[in-house]
Amino acid sequence: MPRRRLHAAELVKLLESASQPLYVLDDSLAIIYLNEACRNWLGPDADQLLGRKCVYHCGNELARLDATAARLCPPPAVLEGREVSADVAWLSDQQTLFRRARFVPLRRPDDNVLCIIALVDPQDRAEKTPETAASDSSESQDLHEQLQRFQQETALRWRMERVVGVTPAMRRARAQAEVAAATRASAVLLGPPGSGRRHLAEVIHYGGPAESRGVLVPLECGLLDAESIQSTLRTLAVGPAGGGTLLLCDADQLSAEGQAALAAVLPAAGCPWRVLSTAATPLIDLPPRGLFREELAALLSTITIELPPLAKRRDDLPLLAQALLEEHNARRGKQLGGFTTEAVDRLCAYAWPGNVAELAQVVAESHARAAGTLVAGDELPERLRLAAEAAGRPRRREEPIQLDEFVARIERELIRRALARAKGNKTKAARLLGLNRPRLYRRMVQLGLAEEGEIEN
Amino acid sequence: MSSSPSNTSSSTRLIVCEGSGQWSIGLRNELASTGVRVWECRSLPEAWDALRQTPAAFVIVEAVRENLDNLLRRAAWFSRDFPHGRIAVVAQRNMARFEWLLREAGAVHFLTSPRRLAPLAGLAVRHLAGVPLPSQTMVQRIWASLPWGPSET
Repeated sequence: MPRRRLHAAELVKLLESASQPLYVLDDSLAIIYLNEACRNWLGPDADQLLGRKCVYHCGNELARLDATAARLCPPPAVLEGREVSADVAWLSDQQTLFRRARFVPLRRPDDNVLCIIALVDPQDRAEKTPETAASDSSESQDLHEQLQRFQQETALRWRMERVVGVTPAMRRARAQAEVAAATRASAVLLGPPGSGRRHLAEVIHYGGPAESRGVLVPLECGLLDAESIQSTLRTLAVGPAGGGTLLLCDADQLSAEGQAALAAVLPAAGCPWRVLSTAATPLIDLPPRGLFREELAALLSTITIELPPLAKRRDDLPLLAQALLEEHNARRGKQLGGFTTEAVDRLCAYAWPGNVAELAQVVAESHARAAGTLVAGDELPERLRLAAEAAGRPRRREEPIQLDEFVARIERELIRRALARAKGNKTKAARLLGLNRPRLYRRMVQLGLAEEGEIEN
Repeated sequence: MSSSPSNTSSSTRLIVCEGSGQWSIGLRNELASTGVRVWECRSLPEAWDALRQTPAAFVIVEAVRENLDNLLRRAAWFSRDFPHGRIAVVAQRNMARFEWLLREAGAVHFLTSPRRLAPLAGLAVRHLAGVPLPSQTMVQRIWASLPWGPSET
């Protein structure tokens, strides 16, 4: 044993004296070793990178250390056991510099990757290596770069400024969201479907302290059965995620078994998961009706944020529509300036039963249809115009019906359809209607169908 | 029996986008007793065309290295573009490390084993059961013909 330890110490001594920066990642991509040249390269924060994972994130504005670790992430092909060269980046005085790194995976006896050694070129470069000069699979390099680009592009979507609204209800919701983002407390986002609950939950997650943020894992409570919830929670416990935010979508639809599975995991000391939920009904109102576990409802409802239906925040409509239009400008390339006054009036007159989600659909449709630089009233979907017209008409008076005549009309319709289905064969039609043939015939005579020539055979 | 997007009726709402057909075979076995038909296609643009016809569909996409970037971008906008639809991802085991990224982007389920399709099939059936049918039955039309509108019950 002492001899073995001596060898290990000598190895570390050798690596420490190397002039070439070198770092080692374990199989979950956590940094487990940096040699002295690497620590000198990465600067005073280098030691704090130990234990930090080099992974792709969807999040915006990663904490400085997470961002540094993310820039050291090896291309995906390395975890398949292939040696790959790629550029790693680092920030020096707000300028991004690049170095070429060779990633060498070491394998376990079962062929899985044990760890990855990254050998970094000692020279900084201001530019990335041109693709043609890349010595390794340009396919894996492409994917590596695509994922990094995706991360940067998606980052812009979840900023607090993207929660649009000037109405008091939205100002309150935004202030509460800022509080929720600054803590790890659980929060329920209450509102009707389509009111932007999930978007706000994502803003809270990505707006939180980056050091403890982790990944966001949404769970569709209305769709997942208890087994799926348990299996996801098991995967979360052992997976590479290492904690983060569990987003329970439609938590008020969680089954009793699903509630039991969550209640068994979440209150445990050291549970690395913060929980955000979306719901249409306050969770704390459900236990008295026997629909939710009381302790779980309390655990999930530390902060309650209410999002009003769109119809109750009409002052936000023009702003929201404009923000959604700009989203499409950015995505589609076609640039529109906004909406005509007539279009805005029509948007404001509509009831919006589908809330912000429906507005987003309407804006998408109008953006595609618009011929000019502004969306005109007649470029909005037809249903908005029809709704506006209907609202202008006096309410229809309740009309009485003649019950016997109405029922006879239904019977006639059913007999006609049964005869059509039986291709005019009355015996078959009678069977379809649960009658015998003579009774069907009598009924047809009584209803006047016999006179219409519908009983020829 | 697989059906192509061009000849599938609007009531078909489980879209499977994959390269080989192996996931669809397994899903058809799992869904045999449910009456849900699998609408199979081979590329993301084809799947999204199908989605535009049935925006409340349940889409299962096989993630491979070649489509990962495109899939992530589409998944990230899925809830905005198709608020009534849902997307799940299946993949070979070597793609497992992208599970969290795909879930963050919007996938409701991630699966790497074709032998564990039952939970995914269940998820699809529950989603489709909650989607209102586009056309009304004859009985619904009869009740809707009442001068004061359809039944409230």
